[in-house]
Amino acid sequence: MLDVTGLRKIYRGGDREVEAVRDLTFSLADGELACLVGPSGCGKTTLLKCISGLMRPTSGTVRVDGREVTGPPPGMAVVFQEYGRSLFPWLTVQDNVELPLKEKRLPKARRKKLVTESLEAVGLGHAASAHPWELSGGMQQRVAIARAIAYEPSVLLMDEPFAAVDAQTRADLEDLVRGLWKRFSMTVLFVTHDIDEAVYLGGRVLVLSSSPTVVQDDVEIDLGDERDQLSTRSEPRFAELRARVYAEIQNAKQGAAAGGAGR
Amino acid sequence: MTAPSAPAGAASAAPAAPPPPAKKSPPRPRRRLPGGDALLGTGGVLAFLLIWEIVPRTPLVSADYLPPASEVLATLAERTATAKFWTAVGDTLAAWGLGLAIAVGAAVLLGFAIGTVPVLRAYTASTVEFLRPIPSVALIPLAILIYGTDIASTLMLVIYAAFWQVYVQVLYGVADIDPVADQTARAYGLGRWARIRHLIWPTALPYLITGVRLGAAVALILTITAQLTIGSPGLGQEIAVAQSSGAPDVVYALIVATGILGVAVNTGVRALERRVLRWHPSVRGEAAV
Ligand SMILES: Nc1ncnc2c1ncn2[C@@H]1O[C@H](COP(=O)(O)OP(=O)(O)OP(=O)(O)O)[C@@H](O)[C@H]1O
Ligand SMILES: [Mg+2]
Repeated sequence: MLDVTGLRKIYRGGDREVEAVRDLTFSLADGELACLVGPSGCGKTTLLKCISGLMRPTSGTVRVDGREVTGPPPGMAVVFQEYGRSLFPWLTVQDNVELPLKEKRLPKARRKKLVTESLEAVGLGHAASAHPWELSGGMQQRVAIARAIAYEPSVLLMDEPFAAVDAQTRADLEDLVRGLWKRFSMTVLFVTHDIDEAVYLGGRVLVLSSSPTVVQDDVEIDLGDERDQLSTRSEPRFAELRARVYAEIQNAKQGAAAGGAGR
Repeated sequence: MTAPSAPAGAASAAPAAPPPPAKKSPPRPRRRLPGGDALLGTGGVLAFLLIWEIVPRTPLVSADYLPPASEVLATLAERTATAKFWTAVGDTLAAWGLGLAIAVGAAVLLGFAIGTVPVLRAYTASTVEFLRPIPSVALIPLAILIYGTDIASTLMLVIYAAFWQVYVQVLYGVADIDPVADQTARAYGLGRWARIRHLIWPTALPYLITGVRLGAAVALILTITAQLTIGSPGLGQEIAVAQSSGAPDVVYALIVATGILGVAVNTGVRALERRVLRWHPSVRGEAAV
């Protein structure tokens, strides 16, 4: 479904060059939910922008459904890290969610249904007619998530979408994402800083090294499909996987400190 | 860009008197209460009129050159009872409105067309920098040469002056697109036209309205100037006539009338601004994030 091959991205600004991503290769199968963890500044956002066709990689390719990505592919939704700036302040919450659906030329009744359902799903049914700037940071983030799921994407990219919400809401949203993923059988790539979150959410965790960035490890999360905040997190297997991902991230940092890339 | 004075006043007034109709949890943008500011402004005007009333009665200034306020206002009241006065006001407003409308229309079209294409923008930048500072009044001889004393010569000056005010603001506005918002729009499949309509237009709108406000004031100045110097019909021409027939109270009365017109125009644009930009930080008051 999603194939990233030899992806490399160098930012050039004046005489300065930043190699954000050195060499990334991985694939996600159709309907897979994978989490991406890696140290800050290792190029996670850069990777998502290349996948979503907003930025051309310096070399390497991204394929979605077998087709090479040269511009934003249809059927892909993105939740940006800067969720606040990605909402339009001149539109109400429901208009923000509806705008991409209008561009998809869905009939009005269908749009209305999707908007209402997705706002309900993130617990913002009551705030539909407010403007984004009347909401708290966490609520804005949920609007961005609602917009993404209302779009009914086949691929969903999320860039640290839960950074601004409290622990309880975060747990609810994690279950929401898993629920939606199961219900709509989307392919989801979920970027996070939080190792626990990555292990709890993902069927797979991709660990990126620090810059120059490569895929440090690819951990299969065999916790089953039915997960529960309390019981899953207290399973011994959860602790093992968590420890493994943690160790890999430490490795990645040390690898960088020693001047080497990966293993 | 947009002056924050009125919203700031409203914001500080709001916590003292919470708006009663706000029942639902996400509060609607609150109504502004300009009461305090208006009171202060009226006081200032009254003080000014009082000084104007007193000064001509002292040896400082002769009442021949500066008739007292009461006399001027009485003359103005007399004038407003005549059809001639209202015809002049109508002519002035017509030239002003038409000129401003054409200038805004042209500035929006060109501003969006050129502003959204970086190559064009760079290509025209130095020409704009050359043309923009030319004062409109310097074009008066040219306007007379081309159009005589026809209304077209007034229009030419008004359009030229107002156009640059608006055009430059539109260029700024179009350049002020938030990159994250733009990426969002593109990621969700919004094409060029949809981005212009749903992203670039709303982003540029506050700038455009600032441009319209500046342009409206400049257009009014140029309308009166052109009527004064070229002699096309309107308040400006009336002032010139009053002056040559030696009626200083009428000259002052008409000047006051143009001043009131200016205030009305500015108030109108401000009201428009508050309506159209309810979502904008300069208007929405304390709900700012
Ligand atoms: N527009 C840009 N121009 C130049 N360099 C950039 C640009 N955007 C990102 N970079 C650089 O690329 C590297 C990766 O940035 P990126 O935003 O992808 O990191 P990230 O993994 O998303 O970090 P975080 O977890 O903090 O969000 C950083 O070193 C950053 O300085
Ligand atoms: Mg990032």
